[in-house]
Amino acid sequence: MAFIELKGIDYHINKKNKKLNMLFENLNLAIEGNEFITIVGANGIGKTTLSKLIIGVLKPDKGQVLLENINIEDYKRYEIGRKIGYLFQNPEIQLFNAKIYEELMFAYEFGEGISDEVRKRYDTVIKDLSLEKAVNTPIKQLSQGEKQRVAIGTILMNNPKFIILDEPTVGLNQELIDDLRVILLKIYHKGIGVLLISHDNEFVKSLPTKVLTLSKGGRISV
Amino acid sequence: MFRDYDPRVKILIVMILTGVVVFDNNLVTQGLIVFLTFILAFIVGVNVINTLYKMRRFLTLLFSIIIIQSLFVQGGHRYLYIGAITLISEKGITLGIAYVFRVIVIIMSGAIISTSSMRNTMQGMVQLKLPYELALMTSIGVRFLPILMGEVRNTHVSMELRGIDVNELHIKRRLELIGRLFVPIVYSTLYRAKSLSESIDMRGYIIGEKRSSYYHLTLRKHDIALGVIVIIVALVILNRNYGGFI
Ligand SMILES: Nc1ncnc2c1ncn2[C@@H]1O[C@H](COP(=O)(O)OP(=O)(O)O)[C@@H](O)[C@H]1O
Ligand SMILES: [Mg+2]
Repeated sequence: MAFIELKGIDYHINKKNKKLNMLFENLNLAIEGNEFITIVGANGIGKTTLSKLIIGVLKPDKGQVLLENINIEDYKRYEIGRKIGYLFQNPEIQLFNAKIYEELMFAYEFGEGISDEVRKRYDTVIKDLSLEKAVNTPIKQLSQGEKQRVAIGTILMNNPKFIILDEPTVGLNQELIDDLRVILLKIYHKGIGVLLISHDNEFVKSLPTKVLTLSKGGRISV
Repeated sequence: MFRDYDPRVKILIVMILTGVVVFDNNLVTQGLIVFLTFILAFIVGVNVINTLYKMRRFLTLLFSIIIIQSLFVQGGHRYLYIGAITLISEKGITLGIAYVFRVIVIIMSGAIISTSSMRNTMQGMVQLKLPYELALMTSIGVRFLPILMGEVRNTHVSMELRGIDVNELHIKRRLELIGRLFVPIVYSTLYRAKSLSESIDMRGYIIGEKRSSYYHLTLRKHDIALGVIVIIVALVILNRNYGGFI
């Protein structure tokens, strides 16, 4: 049993004219919980769509998505979020607070409360993401790279088993890309599975990842 | 009957319909305007059934608003009550229905306008001597609306994925959570607006500068006919209510 399984997925962009807009036809994919996997493919080929099918935000027209052997549609969104973290291409849209502490504690403030364990996790996350210097700066004023790291931080606070990143190198300069590489490796070495979506070949080549190519119709090749 | 109507006629229709339905608070007048809206939408080529189908979730929400509103607004006949607590009152239900009517007309108005291409609508606004800025803002708004809607959806999903069980929350905390959604939404709207205005400046575009165009819209007979009919029907409907000015 794989961590995530996609079985016989059909997906149409336009639900009315199905013939014309078949994005995926009989797409099959199995991802283990502890692997580092990268999906590459041309712009518009469906990488983002595929990742949103995995977290259940989009629903396949045929076939099913299984998370730990249970249909993704049987999960509540918050349950999925506790297992899989998702970094959107634009980190700004997933930040809701003024300061880093509030942002990372957000789910606990509104949920089970802030325990000693959570506080400890916060310290680790801040250290792992090298955000120590940024903690007193309003999030609004942080750089693009820092905002992205805060967004990754909010994901890590949930202690997920797996993390999906949609084109995280877009809009970053070389230095920030190098920082991101270090962070991804740290995450992976903690035993968290990673699904990276990217068309930045150089970045992908520098990582210890299995690379899958998504091509037309949802065909996946190694 | 079903031809291309001039965007200016559509603008006129929409201004009359929304004007009356927003400022008039007589339920019968509003109901007639809703009816007229559907007919006009059909005439200019809106797929009415399809639009209503797309709105169905929204309409459910609207009906819940009616019910909630009538809990707070009391007065008139009590239709449904438990002891001293009135659940549905005449005044509450009237206000609720008026609200739904307004929203329906506004949504159908959007559908009416969008049956013309943006190029044509802009040209129509310019020829109507509406401020050029207004035409530009409208066209940019329409262009960016889908992008913004996509970002709002992503923001919402990302909040759900934070792992908060919303159903466990007290209603007050839940509303607070919804309030937080506006932080990234407002931010990304402002951010888009800023980068857009920068890119407009970079191209040397000066808003409002006299622009010449070979393209010109001319009103044809059926345009004028529809415009006149709409004005007359609107006056008749209003006359019912305010009486005696025709
Ligand atoms: N909301 C949408 N409406 C219509 N088409 C869409 C929408 N989202 C994506 N698409 C289309 O689906 C295809 C796949 O998009 P996407 O998954 O974003 O590709 P990628 O991430 O590989 O660039 C593209 O052709 C895109 O135009
Ligand atoms: Mg994409």
